[in-house]
Amino acid sequence: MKLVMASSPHITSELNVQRTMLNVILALFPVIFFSFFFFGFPAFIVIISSVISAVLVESLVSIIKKEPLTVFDGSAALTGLLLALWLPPITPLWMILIGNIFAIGIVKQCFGGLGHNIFNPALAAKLFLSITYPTYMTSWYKANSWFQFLPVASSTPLSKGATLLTTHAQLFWGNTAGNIGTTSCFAIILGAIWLFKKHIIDWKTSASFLGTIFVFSILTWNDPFFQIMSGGVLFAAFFMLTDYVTTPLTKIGRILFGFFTGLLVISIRLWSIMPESIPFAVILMNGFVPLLDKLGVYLHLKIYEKLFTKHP
Amino acid sequence: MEYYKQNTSMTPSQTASAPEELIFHLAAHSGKPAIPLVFQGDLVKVGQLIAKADGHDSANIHSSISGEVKSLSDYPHPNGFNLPSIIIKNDHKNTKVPFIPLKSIKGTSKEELIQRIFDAGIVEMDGSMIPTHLKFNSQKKVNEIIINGAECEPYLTCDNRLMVEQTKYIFLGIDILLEILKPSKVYIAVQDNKPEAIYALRNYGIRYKNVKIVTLPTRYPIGADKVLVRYITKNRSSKLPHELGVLVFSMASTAQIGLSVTTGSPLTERLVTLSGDLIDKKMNIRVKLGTPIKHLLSELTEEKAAKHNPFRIILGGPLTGLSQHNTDVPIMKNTSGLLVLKEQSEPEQDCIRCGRCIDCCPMFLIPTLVIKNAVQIEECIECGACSYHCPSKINLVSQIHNLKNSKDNS
Repeated sequence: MKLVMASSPHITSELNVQRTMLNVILALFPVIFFSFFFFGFPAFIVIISSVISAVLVESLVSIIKKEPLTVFDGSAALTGLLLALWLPPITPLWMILIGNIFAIGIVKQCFGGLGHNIFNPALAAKLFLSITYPTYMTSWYKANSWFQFLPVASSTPLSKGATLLTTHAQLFWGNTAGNIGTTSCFAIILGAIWLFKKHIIDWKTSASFLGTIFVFSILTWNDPFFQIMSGGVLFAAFFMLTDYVTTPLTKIGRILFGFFTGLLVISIRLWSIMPESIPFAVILMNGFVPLLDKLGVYLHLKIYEKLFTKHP
Repeated sequence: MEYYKQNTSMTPSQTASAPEELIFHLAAHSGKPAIPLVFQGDLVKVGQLIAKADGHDSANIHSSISGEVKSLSDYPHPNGFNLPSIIIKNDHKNTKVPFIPLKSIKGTSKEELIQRIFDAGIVEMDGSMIPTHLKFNSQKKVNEIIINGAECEPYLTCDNRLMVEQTKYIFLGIDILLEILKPSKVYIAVQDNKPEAIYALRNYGIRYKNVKIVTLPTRYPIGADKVLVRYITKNRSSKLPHELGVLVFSMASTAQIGLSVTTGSPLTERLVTLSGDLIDKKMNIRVKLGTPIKHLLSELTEEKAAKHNPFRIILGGPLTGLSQHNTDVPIMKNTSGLLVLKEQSEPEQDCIRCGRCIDCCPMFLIPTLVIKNAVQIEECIECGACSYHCPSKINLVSQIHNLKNSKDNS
């Protein structure tokens, strides 16, 4: 009889890092399905090649660092998938590879791997690609039919002139030009419901982010629903701002993080010439996370106990 | 959190057979160990005092069987050490010492009631093992008494069965506590996953005006004393319960007070939940104190043990209990559960900053900072919720425990 001596607790929850990542990947399946539906075969190629290259880069880094393989925790595949969903439907394969080398090799592994990276790898890579190859990253195509091989160039709902032509219903179902995964609000909400049900993400971050955008677009005399449903705001709210590693630790910190990111998104959209607001806003705020952490910890220890009574 | 209570909570409790040999540790409570009163070769009866309390900060120990004292020697204790104990060989005659029942609770003086509790060797029968008579020392007026029947740990259902089967003794115990402490209010706190127990208590307690049955949400660790007091009194100050004029008694101790004070029989047996992955006959079982756990684990045969190697044997609940390295250790006064669990530990990973430990901390601490900089480390009640919920499988609570110990030693 072999008895294990260990300190308590003797049971742990089912959830581990791998299951968490797997759940997020599962939550992205509606988004993937809708991207096939709207952008067809090219989108499929982009997603598959991005996931494969992310996994390859992660394994390669592990081999170079002479450490045990870390690909099986699923975080690399998730990063690859998220990056692909932020890319236009037609992106050259070499560019996807460069993006993943930057995301995994530099942003994630140079800082010490999962749990230590300061910036969101997928968004940092997207930012890197859109600064380095602006023409590729702003070539949008019309979302029109199944299995299209000859896409039709178009402009996104947020570009000047196209705004008035896009209806709310189009934005909701995702029948617009844009990045592969960020157009369909319906699919994103399906995925978010899954994540909430599995208690993977916290609604407070998303709510403060979306609420800020809603309020400030009203204040600046813009259509709030249009602002929320376009340009990947919903996707960022549920899949980017809820990334554990690159957001503050405490709930108060996360609420502040959501608020400031929302503020930045609105400011970039209204008063800047940047083609994409979300990656800039999120990456900029990622840099402020240590600061927000300090503030969040201070507030948590001082006032959390009095403000929130969720726990007995 | 998965609670795994469905197998044992509904079935009536059973009685375990008496083993051949029983072990009575002198350190069967917190505070000073008791002083042995018997020698090798002495004959003892059921309920006989075999070790007396060493001063006020200690408790009496009684034999739970009749037989001959085999030896006074060191024996494995659940805390992992070999400690002095009295080993008694069972003669299966079950001869009892005469118990003196109490005529009526009303009219008996406060001192005599406390003396009877002291004589019966009653301790808090949850994790703490504080001798119960020490609780009446408080100089401050006690306004509220909380009877803790939360039983928030997974697997354990012995308090649930106690509330259903021995409602009478629980209310007798409450009568005695009311007589001694004269509080304005008594709360019986029960988690809402025990509808049977709540029903039984409501039925019985209907004629008590100042007894209130509080239904707690099912959430770990709501049964921890500090958390429970905060939840019930709605007082969020960091004072200790007795400073607020609140006393918490465990459910098993209350029932034992009711039984011992009225009948005069000392604490010699208790309900233990026998459960876990490797146990097929999951049940609540009435066990004589001092029974070695191997006597209860008879179904854990060699082949079965070999098939599931390695596994853990745990005394107490799965989140705060102690894992055992051999099966000779006896059932103690605070052993609420005997669990045999499959080994399921996963390798520790780096923190992914998910913040689950902060969300689940009942004391509103930040466990990751506690292990790093010892921020408010004394506040931690070591409930183990953070370690349970951590997806990176970091054992935060054991690190905090070690930090506390190293702080105390330096």
